[in-house]
Amino acid sequence: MTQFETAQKHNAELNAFLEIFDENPFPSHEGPLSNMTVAVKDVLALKDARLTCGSKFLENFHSLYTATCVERLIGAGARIVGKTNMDEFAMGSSNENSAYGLVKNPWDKTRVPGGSSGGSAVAAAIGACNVALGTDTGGSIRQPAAFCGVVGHKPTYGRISRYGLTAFASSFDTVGTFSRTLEDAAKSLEVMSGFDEMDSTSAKIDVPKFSQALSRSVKGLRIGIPKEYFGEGIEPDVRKLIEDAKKKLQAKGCEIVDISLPHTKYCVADYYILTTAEASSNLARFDGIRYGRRAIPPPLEGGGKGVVSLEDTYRHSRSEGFGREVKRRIMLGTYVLSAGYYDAYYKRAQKVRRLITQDFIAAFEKCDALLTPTTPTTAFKIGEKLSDPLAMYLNDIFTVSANIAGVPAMSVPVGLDSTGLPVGAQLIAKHFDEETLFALGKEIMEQLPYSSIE
Amino acid sequence: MVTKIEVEKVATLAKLEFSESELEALTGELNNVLGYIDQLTELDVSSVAPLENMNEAVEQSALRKDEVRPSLKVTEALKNAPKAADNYFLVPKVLAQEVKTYVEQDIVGDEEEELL
Repeated sequence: MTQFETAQKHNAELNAFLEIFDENPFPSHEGPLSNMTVAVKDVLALKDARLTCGSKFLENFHSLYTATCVERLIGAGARIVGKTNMDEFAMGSSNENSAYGLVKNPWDKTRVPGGSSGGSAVAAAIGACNVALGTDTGGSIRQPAAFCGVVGHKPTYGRISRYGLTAFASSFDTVGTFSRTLEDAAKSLEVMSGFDEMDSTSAKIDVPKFSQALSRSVKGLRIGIPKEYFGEGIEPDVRKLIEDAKKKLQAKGCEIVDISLPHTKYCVADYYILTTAEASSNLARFDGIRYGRRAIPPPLEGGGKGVVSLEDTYRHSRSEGFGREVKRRIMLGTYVLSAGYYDAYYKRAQKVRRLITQDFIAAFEKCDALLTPTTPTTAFKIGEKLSDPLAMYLNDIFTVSANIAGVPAMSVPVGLDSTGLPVGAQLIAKHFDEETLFALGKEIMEQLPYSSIE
Repeated sequence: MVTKIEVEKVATLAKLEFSESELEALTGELNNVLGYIDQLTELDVSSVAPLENMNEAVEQSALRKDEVRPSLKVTEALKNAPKAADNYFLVPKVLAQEVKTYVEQDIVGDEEEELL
């Protein structure tokens, strides 16, 4: 079965893809990735293909250009399988916020795949592609990777250009990958990375051969265990499998160091102030005028065309086009940015962002990488956290810190729990030191029985 | 604590509208989240500089040469427009433009004066 067929076969049930390209419509080039297939989260632009961002607002929007990361993959020979489902505008941790229906976890179809890149996580897990692109603003790659049992990599902020990525929170958004293997993650990262003049925040810094780091010895590396990530609320099976990963690294000659990241308890609060503020500003562009949904005025009573003001058009279009969670975050973001509250919330949060970042810089003076659980629990049930936004937000407790500080992080499958659900371990390294993540990931990764979900 | 009236004002700023029951629910949800994020007030940040640029340590090249380059053609730019004609986006007549003065008074008023 080809990967295109695998994608088709599961889609009615899992809903991972919003679009599957029958015959690959893009010319395939000879190149280092000519045997690679790639699924693209529907928040990244691909010229002439639909770009919905999981929103009704953009139901009929077609991209006018291709995102830099996607263009570089195509240029290296990769073939695009399709566009994947996601939480609307990448806001969510369960993929239940898509306007095009929820995505199911292939390991247990009563459970969520995680979010916001849930479709991409499932696509990689079931073998519908070698690499699925995702975006990670607070854990949107690593959390679904852990829930679906694949490698999920969020590189350093600035490593990959964001040109062609529909912005959610611009100082957090990072493009990254899902894959069954570390090799595919490394090879695709090599191609996508590097400065792009279309994104002023993309870093002018050398791109290493990440795949070579996979054969690097980890002997002598110091692994920090941040005590704040091992408190209450972690499922016993998750705790045990992370403990096993730690022992494997010790057996390979790594030194285990106890670390503290003292501002950890403030991460989720800090994250929600800053990202909703940025989102409320970024999503102001969706006004129903130049593209996207425009509300049609209701007819007048007794017939006749209704007359609406421009102001009404904005309000009606946005209110019809956005889903509940997106509106909730725009509201929170507008509130924290509004005059009178700006200093109390937004500016204070930017200061706390520096404190959290300094925690990491201080930690990396004592160790080379951190090891933590990716999530406190395995995949939760569909509907379980839908009625409590705060409980949903707290699911990101171990992942948001890497986005706040901009450091690279990776979730690696380390086994199944006693009920057969995947568990992910998170590795976090210094800015632009993804190579250490690959080297360590190789040592702790466990091969999962993917044939059972194909 | 935010009140339902404040939430309504924020909705006006955000160009969103909600039904009465949605406003009720949203007020509760926002208070729940605001109660949680208020924990940041525990920290003394008086001597901390806000972090605004994510790549402080990396060479930035924010500005390119200021030169004319090819950009989207008008026909391309109008492709996704809900309504367009004669190389323009079509919009509804700007009639009955509501001026939400109370918002400016209550939320922006004081700060705006300080700025002036």
